Amino acid sequence: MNEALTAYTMLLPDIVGLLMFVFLPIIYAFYVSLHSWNGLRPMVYDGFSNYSRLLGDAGFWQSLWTTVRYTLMYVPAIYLLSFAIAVLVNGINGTRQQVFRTLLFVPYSVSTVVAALAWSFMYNPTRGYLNGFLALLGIPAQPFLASMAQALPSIAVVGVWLAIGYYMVIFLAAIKDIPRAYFEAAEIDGASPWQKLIYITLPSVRNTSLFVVVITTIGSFQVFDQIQVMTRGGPAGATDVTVYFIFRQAFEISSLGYASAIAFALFIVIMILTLIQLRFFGSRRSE
Amino acid sequence: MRHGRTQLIRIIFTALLTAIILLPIYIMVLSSFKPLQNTFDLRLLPEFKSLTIDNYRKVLISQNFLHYIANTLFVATTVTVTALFFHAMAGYALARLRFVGKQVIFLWMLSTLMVPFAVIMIPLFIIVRQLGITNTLWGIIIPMIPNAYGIFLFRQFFLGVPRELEESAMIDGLSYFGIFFRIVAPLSRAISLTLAVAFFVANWNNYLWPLIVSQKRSIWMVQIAIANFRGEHTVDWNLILAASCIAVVPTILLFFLFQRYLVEGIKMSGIKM
Repeated sequence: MNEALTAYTMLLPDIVGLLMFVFLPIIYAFYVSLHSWNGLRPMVYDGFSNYSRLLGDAGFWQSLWTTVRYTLMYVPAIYLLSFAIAVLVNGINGTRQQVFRTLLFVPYSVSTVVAALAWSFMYNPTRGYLNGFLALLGIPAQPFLASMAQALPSIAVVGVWLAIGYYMVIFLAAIKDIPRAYFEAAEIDGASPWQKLIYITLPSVRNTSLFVVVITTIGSFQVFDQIQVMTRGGPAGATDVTVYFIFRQAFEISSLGYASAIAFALFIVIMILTLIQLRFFGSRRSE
Repeated sequence: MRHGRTQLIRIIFTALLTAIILLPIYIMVLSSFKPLQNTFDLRLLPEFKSLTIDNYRKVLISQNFLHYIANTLFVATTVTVTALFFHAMAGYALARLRFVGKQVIFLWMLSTLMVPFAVIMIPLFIIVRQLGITNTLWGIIIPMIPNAYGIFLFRQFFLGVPRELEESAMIDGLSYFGIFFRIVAPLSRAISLTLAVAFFVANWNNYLWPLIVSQKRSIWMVQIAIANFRGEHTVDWNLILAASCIAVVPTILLFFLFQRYLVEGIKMSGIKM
């Protein structure tokens, strides 16, 4: 068999797969979004009416705002904590460093469902461990998931807990790539550890920071598992994020056209956000 | 001397932090061994005698949990093996072979990485329904196989492999497929292991897609089963936590065993963006 034919044969399974299960679905999502459809009866062409409905739907805007609030908690927390822990672990010598790295990575291997359940158990407002710990510190019991104000932050904690080890490993690898000579030169000039952190470490991991911020933002806009397991969007819609909103529209109310329109809107929001982030951080990097 | 002391303070501080981060897992494991009436006994070090394996017995025998484990094992293994085979071939073709449209195909594949799953879940469900494989394990498996990330990592790996080996094999008259299977595939053990662990764990832990496809109990995956324990048995935390512990064992084990490969994989995806 000649070279080109071999290549096409080798690529065929993945081309067909990506075509059928990623590429066509995105086009089909747009097509469905232009229709009114409950999934059983034939689709009825509806133009952009699902999109105009979306613009006036307070539930949708509420869910988008809830998603943004989740992102504003999740992304900075992951960024700061995983970077700080990476710096901390990087300063530990020898095999102890590997031990800590391994242990801190463990939560990442836990599934979101299991983590959500384990934390729900600890969040139990009357008898849970967290209120037990707070009582030891003399702090009154908190409602956590049962409260409109605390439910979303409580869920964000689970996401952060799950992912922190992963991003710590990424930052750790980036920190190790910084040439030793930079730090040595700074030490000769009498730089303090804080100065070294701010003027050498932080700027040197800028590419990695960009990667972490972009990836965690995209991820946080798709948060679903924790919500479904811990609160089902409640209490009183306080944790009803956009993907959960889409899920209910599609698979509980069977409003597939409308759900597809929201999904497509979400896609555009995520794309715009990613582009803004790449531009914002990327342009500063190239200066 | 001063250096030794900062090092010690650092270690103590990190150890404390690590303990706090691992505490939820400890609490989960500990509570899974407590009888129901003691579930909310908050002591972190109860007498050993008060612990029991009854919860595990119940989960495994009366809750049909072994069946869900078998489903999940089948799905995660099938996706992993098929995906590795497909992506290695695709990655090799993109890295080594000359053909018309190579750049276009590669960029098109990469562009699929931008599509969030939540955006295509509805059409995916419709496509799977059209194929008549909803409520079968294949409905869960097939859409999870294509993955541009795997193709991309294989391609990067093959670009770094020296050409000499393949050239001498070609002189010996091996076909391109022969070179791929006999020379190149055996070289890619490390990258294959990295991706195998990543794919297996991702599919073992997957929740949203199986939730959409499986209306029938008989094809439930582990995560679905655990999440459903909550609704059905309102406060059977002992069973939920025992099932959770069982579900977590394979992934933690894999991560410990293949840690070295995983860290390499994370570095590859994270830095060489």
